[in-house]
Amino acid sequence: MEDRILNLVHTAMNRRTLLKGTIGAAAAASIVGNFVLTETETLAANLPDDLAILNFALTLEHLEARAYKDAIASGVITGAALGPVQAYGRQEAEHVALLTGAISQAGGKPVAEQASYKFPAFTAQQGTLEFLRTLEDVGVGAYTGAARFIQSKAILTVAGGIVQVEARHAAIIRLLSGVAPVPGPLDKVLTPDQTLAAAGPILG
Amino acid sequence: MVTFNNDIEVLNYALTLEHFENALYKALIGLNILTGTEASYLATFGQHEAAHVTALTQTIASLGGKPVAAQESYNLPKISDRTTLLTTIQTVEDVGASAYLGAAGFIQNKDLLEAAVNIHNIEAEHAAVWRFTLGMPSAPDTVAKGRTPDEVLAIVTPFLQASTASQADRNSTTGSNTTTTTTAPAPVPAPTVVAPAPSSFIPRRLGQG
Repeated sequence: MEDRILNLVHTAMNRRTLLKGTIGAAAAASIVGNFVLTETETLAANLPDDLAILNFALTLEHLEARAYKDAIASGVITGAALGPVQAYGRQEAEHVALLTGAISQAGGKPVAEQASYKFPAFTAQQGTLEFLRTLEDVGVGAYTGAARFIQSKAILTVAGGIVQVEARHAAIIRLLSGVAPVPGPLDKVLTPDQTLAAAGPILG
Repeated sequence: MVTFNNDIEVLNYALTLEHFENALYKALIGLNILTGTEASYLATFGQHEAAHVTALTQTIASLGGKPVAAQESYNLPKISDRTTLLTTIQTVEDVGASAYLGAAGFIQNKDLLEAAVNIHNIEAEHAAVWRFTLGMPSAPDTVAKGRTPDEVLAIVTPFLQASTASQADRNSTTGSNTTTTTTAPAPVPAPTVVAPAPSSFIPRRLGQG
């Protein structure tokens, strides 16, 4: 799995290796339409790079969606934490659907969910929330660190809209797990390599 | 339509909003309405906004621009109860997050973009916590929506309007971020010099803020 992610990252980050011009204007218009944006920029030329970044994001969203699903199914999340965890799980699943649809419509091949992930056993609420907190922190750091590589303004706006939601999740999951909800004036940013180092062991 | 000609103008737009947030937090802390955990959130988040003001001011100056100054006074709402206070700060933080999101696409320098996204995250985290204290959904949208500068100004201009009492004083102060009572304020004074950002300098500066 790690090799696959690494390939995605390198495809996204090393623009010189890309085969350009394979995606037409119709596909570009389609991805813009899907995001309900009105940008008239020329997406096509940069779309292969941005599709790789979207797939990188989708890989993390699959991971988050499954973790929330399993956490809820475990039954250990109760009380004040249950509502937010259920809501955030739904939103992660919606991020998966949105990114999958966008990548497909633009002519890319969306990465699939893995059959299994190396999650810890969800046997108590505190440990489960701490694991979700780690995932949300990685998600926020990963999107923030990837923003500089996104070529399309339309896709940047969508990625920004998603990272904002991840940040909101992170704040409340931190709060529910008993740590400061906003620990400092800036979040920790992860480069793609740092994201891989953090998420790799969980992806297996 | 308000638009941006360069990164310094975007940063000054952000700084204008951060000055307002900073002033609002200071005023709300001074009211001594919140207690316990909520009071500690107010104090901590207020420090974050002050740090954002410092970081943006230093960064704009380092780029050769002229950082917009804080207004001497703001037209802050009258608040005397917890719910109104929480609703006010929640609304302002949500607007702040949407303002950064709506402006991100204008930023050319990638280090500045990353820093702006990062500050945007913090505004959203503040908003989420205030929403949580109010029993509201902390992340109301699956994909958050940005606001254009015009949409943001339409919301915040009433707060940035000079009060009658302080208008004369402010008009006599050279370099202050003056507003008028008849038109929306121009939030972004034109920079005097635009210099490219050293690639490794900006994040370090912002990180120190």
